[in-house]
Amino acid sequence: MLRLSVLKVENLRKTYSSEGFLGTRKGKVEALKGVGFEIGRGEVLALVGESGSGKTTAAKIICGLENPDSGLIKWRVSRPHPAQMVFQNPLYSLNPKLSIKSCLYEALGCAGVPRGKRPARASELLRGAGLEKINTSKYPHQFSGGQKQRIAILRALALEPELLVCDEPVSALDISVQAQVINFLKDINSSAGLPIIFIAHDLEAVSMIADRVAVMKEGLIVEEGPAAEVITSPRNSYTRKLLDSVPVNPWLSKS
Amino acid sequence: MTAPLLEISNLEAVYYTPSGPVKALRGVDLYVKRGESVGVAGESGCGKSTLALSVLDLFDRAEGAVSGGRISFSGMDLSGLDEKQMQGIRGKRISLIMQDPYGSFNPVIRIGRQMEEICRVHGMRADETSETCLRMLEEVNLDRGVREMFPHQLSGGMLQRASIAAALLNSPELLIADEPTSNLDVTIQKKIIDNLGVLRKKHSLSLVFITHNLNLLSSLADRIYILYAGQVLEYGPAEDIFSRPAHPYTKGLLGALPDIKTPGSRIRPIPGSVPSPADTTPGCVFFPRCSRGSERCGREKELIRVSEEHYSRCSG
Repeated sequence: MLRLSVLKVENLRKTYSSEGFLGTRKGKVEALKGVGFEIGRGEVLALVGESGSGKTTAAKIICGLENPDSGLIKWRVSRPHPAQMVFQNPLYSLNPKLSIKSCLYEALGCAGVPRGKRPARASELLRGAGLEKINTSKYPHQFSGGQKQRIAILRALALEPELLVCDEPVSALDISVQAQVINFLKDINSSAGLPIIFIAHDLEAVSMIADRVAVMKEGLIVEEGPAAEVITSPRNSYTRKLLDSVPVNPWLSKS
Repeated sequence: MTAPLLEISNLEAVYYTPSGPVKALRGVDLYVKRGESVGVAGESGCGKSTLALSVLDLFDRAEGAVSGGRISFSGMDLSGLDEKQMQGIRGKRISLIMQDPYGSFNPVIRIGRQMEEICRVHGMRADETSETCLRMLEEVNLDRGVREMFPHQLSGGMLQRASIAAALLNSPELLIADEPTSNLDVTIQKKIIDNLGVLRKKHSLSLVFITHNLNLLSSLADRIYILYAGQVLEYGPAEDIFSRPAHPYTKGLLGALPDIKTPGSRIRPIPGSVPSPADTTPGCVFFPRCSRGSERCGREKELIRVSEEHYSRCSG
């Protein structure tokens, strides 16, 4: 059962060609070899795979940061720039010279929020992330990793996207604070019904948030289905390999 | 009981900042028995890497230093050694693997030459170096062709395995691995962890494995130390730490681990963040983030025995 779709991509292909040292050699990397998926309203779709599987290329294409060689991208949205991206490391994605306040105001400005209304809207956003108590005159480096990533997500939300694309949003964070970010994304998804594409290389993080999972390998989707089904009874051998790589802790059995 | 291979007592380390020195380690006690595998777990900024730097005395002199305590290795006081003697220990009797393998190798020298140099500086005979390097590459499941390659020609996982091979060339007694898999894909992470487990047994190696992910320690560590704000908050046999954790911080770390067997379940993160080393508020260092705090937490707490070999600064 698929909810009304927000985005449907079909047969995406993308090849990067690289020049060797001093232009001596030329190599080609087929990052996407015909990838298609659909994401419904209010849904969290996880793209899972290892480095080089094409996850980030797919994300960049959806956000318009990269053009595909071929393929179809069908949006069912009301605005011209429907997707916003959240990157892996907030230390690099946030401008170190902008205070948190300026960072959010700038994004709100891009969204067309009039100057006078930006402070109120920024406070509202911060409250939603449980960050209402922070000093917004401070700069990114003065916050912890979990806080920085939530701020980066808020900056994306300031632009009122119709789809949030998160590229490895927790892999640079300590495992003890990953849940701060994942729980926040879950809240945004359930309260506002915002669809999220959640890209990760480990199935543990994915298992906490995804409704559906698409497993990518070498530029192709090798398995796709409801999260619980893919994680508990994977059909593809590569999905099983990913699952087998999750460290099993014999002493922990949470109820 | 025979003396431990590595014994750290009351270790303090400082970093110099424009506003004065800050303590990154505040009296750490830790021991590693011969052949034992010890896990050190904690969040970023807890002093885990500083601990590794302290043992091998790898501080940049302008940035920080060991400021107190004692590190004894195989009965020898390491702080009494001069730089030349310390060089005889590093890479020979104690080796280190770091998080970013691209930082561990010189980018413009072939892997094989760098490995042979490690053998040579520690006095291995020239006719043995090449064969030793090949044997170690084989043990970490790398092709012999890797010798002829430059670091950038290898993937992160392959290069990390090469750095493990390089670390074990001189059959060290102790290997310190500082977040060796945090930059790698999960499938590669598993290979490295399995590989370390095999090598440890084969070479009767003692291991200190530093990580922020307690789950990784479940298959690898005999005993675990929980480090927070430069202090050991709890330590004990792996089974005790996982099954009967005493300290609220340890419980928090365990509670924050995702569980793949219950997809969609909500995980409780530890609220707040690690205090800055410059923060010298007296009392329990975890108190500001602790859900069970009471007024007695305003006092400094000692490590109290929970059971055989299991100690904690708090009983919750």
